[in-house]
Amino acid sequence: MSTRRPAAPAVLRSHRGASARQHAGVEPASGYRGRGHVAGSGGGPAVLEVRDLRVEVDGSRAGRGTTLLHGVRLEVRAGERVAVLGASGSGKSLTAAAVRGHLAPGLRATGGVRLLGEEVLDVPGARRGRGLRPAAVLQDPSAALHPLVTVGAQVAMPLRARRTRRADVRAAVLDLLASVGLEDPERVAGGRPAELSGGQRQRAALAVALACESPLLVADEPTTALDTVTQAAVLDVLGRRTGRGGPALLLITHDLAVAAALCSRAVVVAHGRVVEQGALVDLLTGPDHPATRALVVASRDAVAPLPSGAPPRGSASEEDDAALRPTTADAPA
Amino acid sequence: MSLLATQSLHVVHRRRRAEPVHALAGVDVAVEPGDRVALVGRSGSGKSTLVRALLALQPLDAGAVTCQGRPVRPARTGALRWYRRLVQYVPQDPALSLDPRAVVREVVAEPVRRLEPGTSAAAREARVAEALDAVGLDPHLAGRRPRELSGGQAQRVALARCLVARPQLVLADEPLSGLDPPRRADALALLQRVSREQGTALVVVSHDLAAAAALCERVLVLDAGRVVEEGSTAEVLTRPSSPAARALADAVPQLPLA
Repeated sequence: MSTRRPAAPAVLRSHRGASARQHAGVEPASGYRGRGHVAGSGGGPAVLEVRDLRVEVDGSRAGRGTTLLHGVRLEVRAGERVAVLGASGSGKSLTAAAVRGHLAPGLRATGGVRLLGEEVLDVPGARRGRGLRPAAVLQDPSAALHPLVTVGAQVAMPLRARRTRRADVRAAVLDLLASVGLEDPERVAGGRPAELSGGQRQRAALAVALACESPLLVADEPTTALDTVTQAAVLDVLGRRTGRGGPALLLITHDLAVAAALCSRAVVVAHGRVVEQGALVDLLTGPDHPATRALVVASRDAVAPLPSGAPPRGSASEEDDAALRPTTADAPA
Repeated sequence: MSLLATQSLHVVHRRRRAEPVHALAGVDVAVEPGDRVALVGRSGSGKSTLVRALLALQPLDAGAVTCQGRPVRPARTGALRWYRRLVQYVPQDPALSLDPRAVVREVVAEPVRRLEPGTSAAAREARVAEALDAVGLDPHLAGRRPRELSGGQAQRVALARCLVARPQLVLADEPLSGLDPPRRADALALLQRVSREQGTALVVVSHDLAAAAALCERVLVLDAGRVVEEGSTAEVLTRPSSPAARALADAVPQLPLA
């Protein structure tokens, strides 16, 4: 395999010189923790604190003054995986965009977004320091990957900020590609995104995101475009590589089963407001708010119920039990 | 003589500077009137090629697609009118498939205009009204343009456009994928109701065995261009026998509801 490393385009290289910021041990500002919210099990330092986040349409645009988010509040602690649930148009992706510093032009945000205790709401994603830029995995991996740059070079870019020796970078790239379940990392690293299938591309995008070594990974519908088998595999990787021992995860999804596979805690968004939050199992089994109930009921109806009288999947009974539990949440990191 | 069938269908995608892909390697499918059949497989299993072949948009390397015994293959515009009247298609992203400049009434009237050119304007109007009614779409929306519709309404319009031709078979490509739970439940109920009330055969193409099971009694599992398993959806979901079907069954997302 060739070890030639193609040069990255200048525009993608621009953040290489950004200062590496220490993020371990940063204490959240006191008084910033949510009242009455269900605390994360880990109880680690807050990685993300969103407080009274309001987003409205700005200026001279059509629909000016329309408020899209009415004061969203949520928190993600180190080691946690938190789901933001909601129907289409509820504001969940907008929340993610504000956290990432990628709000569309013409939208104005007020309130607070703190990453590792530092206020970043008014700082666009590209101008934030390294530790304050959440890594992201979005629905369409083709849009996340540069079509003309080899996968290996794209994974290497964020890694080079912390590693100086070429051999170290190369080894870390191959490690990462293997860790997201890509077979033959050497070949994948030397190829371009178009040579990969959709599922492989999403794994590659995940490898790039993990290479950022950010304390927070924002995943916005990361498996919606994948077939169910590939989805299960990508969820498994997310479960192994995020949470304890990895970046905290903020998962944006409308799919309760996907959320259940990864997250123990969830925030339900409806009409631009957090309407309910708590342990995911509680939300699923005893939804309080009508919006949560609608999601749960619709999910239950839309997932094919096993025909009555038919034996449950799998032959052994312990397997049946396992099938009802989130499959990856307890996987070792 | 089946309503729609394929006989050992072979399609090879030949690409420049790459190995050819045997997308369909001998597929036999038969759909009878009123059947509800799902074609399920992972990405790359040959689903999309099969859909194109069933829509007579895909040149075949071997084998045949037949409708009531008549061969169906890519042909010049108009030559397949008889077939389009019998078999209609709902694309995966209904909203994207609607002409943004046309109002709902025109979108839904188009198949009648194309497939039955002799129809009077009054008769066409009546057909449109009937189709909108069948999908439960408020007649007031007939003057709207696609961008003024919600996602659920756009899906209804796409289904109405398909039903207005009074087809005997509806081919739906990933009808439930990517929808949030309320819309998924809505789309599911709509397709179930329409296929029951209209008595049309339904062919659902999906990667999601749960979606297939919710809509269809019978499922064919595709893998690497072949049908590797066939049976009742309940059976395949609970007792898959091929590795491909087992992978699909195991990947059905589960809600931890006690």
